[in-house]
Amino acid sequence: MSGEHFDLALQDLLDGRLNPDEQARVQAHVDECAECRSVLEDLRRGRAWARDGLPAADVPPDLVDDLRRRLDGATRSRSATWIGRRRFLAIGAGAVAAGLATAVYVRRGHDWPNEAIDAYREFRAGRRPFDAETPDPPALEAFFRTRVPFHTRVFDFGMMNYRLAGGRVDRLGGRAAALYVYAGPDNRHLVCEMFVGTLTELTEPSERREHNGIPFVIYRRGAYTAVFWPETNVLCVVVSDMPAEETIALAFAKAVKT
Amino acid sequence: MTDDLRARFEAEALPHFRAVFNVARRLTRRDEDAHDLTQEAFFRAYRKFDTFAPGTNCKAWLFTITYSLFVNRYHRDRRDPHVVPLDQHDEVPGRGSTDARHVPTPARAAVAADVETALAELPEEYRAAILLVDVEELSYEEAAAALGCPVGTIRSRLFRARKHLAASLRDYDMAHRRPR
Repeated sequence: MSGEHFDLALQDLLDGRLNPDEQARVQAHVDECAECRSVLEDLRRGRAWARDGLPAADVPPDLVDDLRRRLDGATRSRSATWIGRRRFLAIGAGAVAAGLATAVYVRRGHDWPNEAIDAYREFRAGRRPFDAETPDPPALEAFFRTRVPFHTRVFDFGMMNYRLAGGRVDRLGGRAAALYVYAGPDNRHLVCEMFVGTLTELTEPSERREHNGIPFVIYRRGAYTAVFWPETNVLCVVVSDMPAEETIALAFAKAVKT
Repeated sequence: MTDDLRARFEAEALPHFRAVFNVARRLTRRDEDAHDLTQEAFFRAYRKFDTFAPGTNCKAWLFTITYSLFVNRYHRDRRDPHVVPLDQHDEVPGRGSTDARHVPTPARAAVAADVETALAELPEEYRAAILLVDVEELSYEEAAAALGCPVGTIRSRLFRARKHLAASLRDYDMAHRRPR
């Protein structure tokens, strides 16, 4: 075995890429050969520096927003292509108007706290009825499974004296959202929504907190409190008009570190 | 149809935005270029997302697009005076002892800066290999597909890149006994 070839076999040993026979043979050689032990140690250190010594930088918040704006444009462009060029021209004026309306909607779409609070108000006013009415969290998770493009986690809040009332497929910031509601004592309600997003996309909050290693972003708007936190690629938000600290405590109880 | 595609893209591709951004930073070594490269890579990925095979590694697929764009648009190492031929390091273990950048220090920021410097000295093909395999945890096979080269090439690039980092940062190892 040449020196170069053996060097690579040492790396294969380090990375677990050898079959048991090869592994035993290379390991036996390493046990006998100081030079190879030194090379193996260099490889191990080099790998450790790469793995542990290069922390990931945060993404500038504007970067994702800018991308989403470009994607919005591309999405509209795909739709226009599907409609067909002649028809597109025929409805040009309408499309321009729709585009402007969409642009306005997209700009508003990033004010997720207000949208989440609006969802709460509308639910309480009876304008956002449930698609599925059930007190059973697994049943509601099953309902969402085929209807939203992410995994939902519907928590049993029985221990906090809140029971699940039901849920619906909703929209938040133009994205599919799973909305579900808990009913508690004194006619209190907690509206929860889950949707694909990141904390960096949120507007400046009233307050930021951390609990059990999870970052929480809190908005107080009049009588309402909205608390956001991330779970994998999904943002969760809870909204209520109960005292702010109670809403925050329920968010802390519901959040799971991912 | 487009809403579904967009929702799938948001769910499957966007969670890798930070990883792609960080690889882009370390490939281009200029924040402005990294921003452009990341944006363009994701925009292209979205336009061809209907060709992405569900169930395969989306992050590896995004790196394939990113690296292809990088090679075509930001390929600068050949005229970059800061890149050091790897042969200079192979026989000079512990060269950091004569280099002020490698004076051992407990400050984590200083250590991180020196690791970044050692990484930046690598030719881009070696840098890309170690970023994808060791930092982003792609398999050799996925990294080979992303970088458009045989698995054996990834294997040898990784070998030399790791040896380079170990040699460049040897003083830290000796001073602080890094965990392995």
